[in-house]
Amino acid sequence: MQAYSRLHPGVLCFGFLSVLLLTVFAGHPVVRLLSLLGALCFAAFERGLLRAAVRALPFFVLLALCNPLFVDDGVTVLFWLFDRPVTLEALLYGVMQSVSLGAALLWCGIYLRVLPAEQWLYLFGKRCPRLILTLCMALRFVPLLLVRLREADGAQTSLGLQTAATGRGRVRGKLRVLASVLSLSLESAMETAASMQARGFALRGRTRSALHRLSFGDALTLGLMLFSTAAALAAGGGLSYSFYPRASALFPNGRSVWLCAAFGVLAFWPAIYEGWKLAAWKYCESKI
Amino acid sequence: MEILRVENISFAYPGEEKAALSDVTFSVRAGEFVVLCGETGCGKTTLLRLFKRELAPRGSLRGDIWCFGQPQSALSARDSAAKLGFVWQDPEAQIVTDRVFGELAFGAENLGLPPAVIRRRMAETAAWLGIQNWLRQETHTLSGGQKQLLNLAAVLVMRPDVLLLDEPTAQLDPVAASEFLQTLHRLNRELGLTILLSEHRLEEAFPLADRVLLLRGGRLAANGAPRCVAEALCREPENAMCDALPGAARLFKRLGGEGECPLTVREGKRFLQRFRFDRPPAPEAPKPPQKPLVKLRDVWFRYAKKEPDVLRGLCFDLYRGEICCVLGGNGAGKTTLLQLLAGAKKPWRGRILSDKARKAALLPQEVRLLFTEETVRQDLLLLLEVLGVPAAEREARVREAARRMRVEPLLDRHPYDVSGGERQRCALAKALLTEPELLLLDEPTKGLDAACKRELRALLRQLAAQGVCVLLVTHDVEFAAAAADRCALLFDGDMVGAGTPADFFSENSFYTTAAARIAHDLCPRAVTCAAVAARCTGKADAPC
Repeated sequence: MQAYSRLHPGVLCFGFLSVLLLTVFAGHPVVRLLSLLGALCFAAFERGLLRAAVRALPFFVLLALCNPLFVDDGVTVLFWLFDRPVTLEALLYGVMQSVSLGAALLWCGIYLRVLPAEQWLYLFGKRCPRLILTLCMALRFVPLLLVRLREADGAQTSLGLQTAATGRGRVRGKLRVLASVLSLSLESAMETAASMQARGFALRGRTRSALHRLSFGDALTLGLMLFSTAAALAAGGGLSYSFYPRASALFPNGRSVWLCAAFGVLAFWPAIYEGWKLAAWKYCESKI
Repeated sequence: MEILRVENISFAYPGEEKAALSDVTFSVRAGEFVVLCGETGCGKTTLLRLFKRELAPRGSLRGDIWCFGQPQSALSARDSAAKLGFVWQDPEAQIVTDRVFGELAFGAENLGLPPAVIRRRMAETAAWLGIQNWLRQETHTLSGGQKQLLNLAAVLVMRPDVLLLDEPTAQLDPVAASEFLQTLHRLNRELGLTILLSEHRLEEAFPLADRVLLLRGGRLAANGAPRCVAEALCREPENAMCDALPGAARLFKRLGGEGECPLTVREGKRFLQRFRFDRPPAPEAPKPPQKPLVKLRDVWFRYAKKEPDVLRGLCFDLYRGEICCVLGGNGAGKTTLLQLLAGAKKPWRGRILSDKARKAALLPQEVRLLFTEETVRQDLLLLLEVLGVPAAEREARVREAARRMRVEPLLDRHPYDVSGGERQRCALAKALLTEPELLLLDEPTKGLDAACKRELRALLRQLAAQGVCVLLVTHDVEFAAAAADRCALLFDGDMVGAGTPADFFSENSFYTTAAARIAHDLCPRAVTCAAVAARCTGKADAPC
């Protein structure tokens, strides 16, 4: 995901927000599917992400199957289960909700890797620097807290503080571990505060150190994203789709085709851009 | 030109009767390397913090502080932040952001410098200190020594004129500490940076210093060249501060203290040429053979399937009533060994044998993680409650453990409010409540001064005399030589070269005490200053 993450953070942020909001609010099944496929294509460049997505698959399948069990609107009945009809429309709705949720989560996962915390700091540094710095510090303290929890757990276990037999006793033992880690973290937080103070955190006029220049890739990406978002929003009514009582037609008019095509560009562009840069790199490499 | 000056400084914390600092006067010239030394609680940290307005503790301050030729209050906020750099003891707590380059940029961003200037300074500082390879790493993945170097770099990016360092190497292993002090030396020599360093590791700090300030009970007891201060300390009767001196100076004291005091191993060797060492070493009483308490047979261990083995076929025996020290480099597997002995982890191959279910107590490096309650007394009572001791006995057992570890006056204080050495003793008291047969200590001497180490040694001797087997994992070679009955080196996953301190350290050239390094030609098998002095039979006839 290296090529895509080198684009300007503003462009990436815009791309992220537009794809996420459209995925969540668009009702059209083709839009949702395109979003998921686009995310999967891009995630394919990062093995760990794809493996995590595959591992989460059973959960989403379960989610999809939940809907028809509770909702019995819809015309086409597939079979009867405990005196309740399981309809095709309900099943389709469940599947689409699952797809939508999966796509949204996958995009969030992707952009967490592509747009790490310091880029957010760069973007919003001038407007609310303290808030973004707090975010960066929170990211620093999460792994530290986990390490300390493991250490405290090990230390208190070997001293015998967690040998309680009953469930309640064990819970109390874990709470004690948490309490000691929190006390330690608060103590060292005071020293962190002193360290920040000593380096002039209270001074006014904080700047940011990162430098980002706009490149051709940025301009192209931004242009395409703006165009496709505008087209998708202009499609307006094409965003809505109803499942009950009867599934609407997928492409009732040209507008919805436009919508899907525009969104397709938005969703697949990260994968296309990354693939293009990778091909260019392999080509250069082959000439060495 | 005087860059810092204090005149008749007296400071007392609110609510304390005894003043932290009384009538301290000294000045620091530009480009000087000044070492501040003294026992814990003598006021070193208070003095250093008073120099920086942002960190000055609350309390009643009398006297004047001058920085860069003007009164401290006249310094602008920007100058106060940028020109005086401060580095603390705890490498982890000082880091603010999650990535290394973010940390480097933090101070400069606060000063409102333009981005191009910040990047240039970052590049320059990182390249000079040799840390440019880990710029994109996350800060929690760095080692202790790397973190402290990062803290130094983050301060240097702001281009300070004075560096104030409060025991920066206390939490580091000897190799990292040595590198850090050498970096400070470079900064002083190559850039002319003024350095005011508070240290316990005087073995390396004394030879580097231009001047030494000795604080005692809040008063300035000595202010002069390192050699003069060492000679003055050597003329005093035996006290804990003398233990903190470099090995060569300690030998100088024991062998009469005439002439110029040596500070380094090289000077110490030249000094010893003046004496004769004809007395043979005292024969060691042979130990009656005992059955081992715990036997480790062919122990293999790794943390995850795909990772390499940390312990490879380790074989070792532990006996009752002995103090055993395990030494070894970083990542050698010492902490892993302790966790295996405590039963927290199991070896995937090999066995740990003992007669019956062994009762082991493990004290981790970060001792504060063991305390969960508001006062030490409540903490000890809680442990007894969890262990199922009947309520009537608890109070008595807590008093007994506190008496043995000499922490009775601390029972009603919060565990975080006591000093490092006292906290160590409270943790030992807690461990003793479980009545262990095997006491496992992970780096107990980290951050302790010489007096606390003496106290700890005495307590461990007492425990060993009562039949507890104490296994210490430490980097502190001097402590191991003085306290241990047996020492072993953990290398390549196995124990290498176990033996009594005299055997162990006299066989080593590098991993050995200062006394052994100085005296091994003239006086083999003497590893402590006391042992060398005992073998001395008077002055050599021929001049050296």
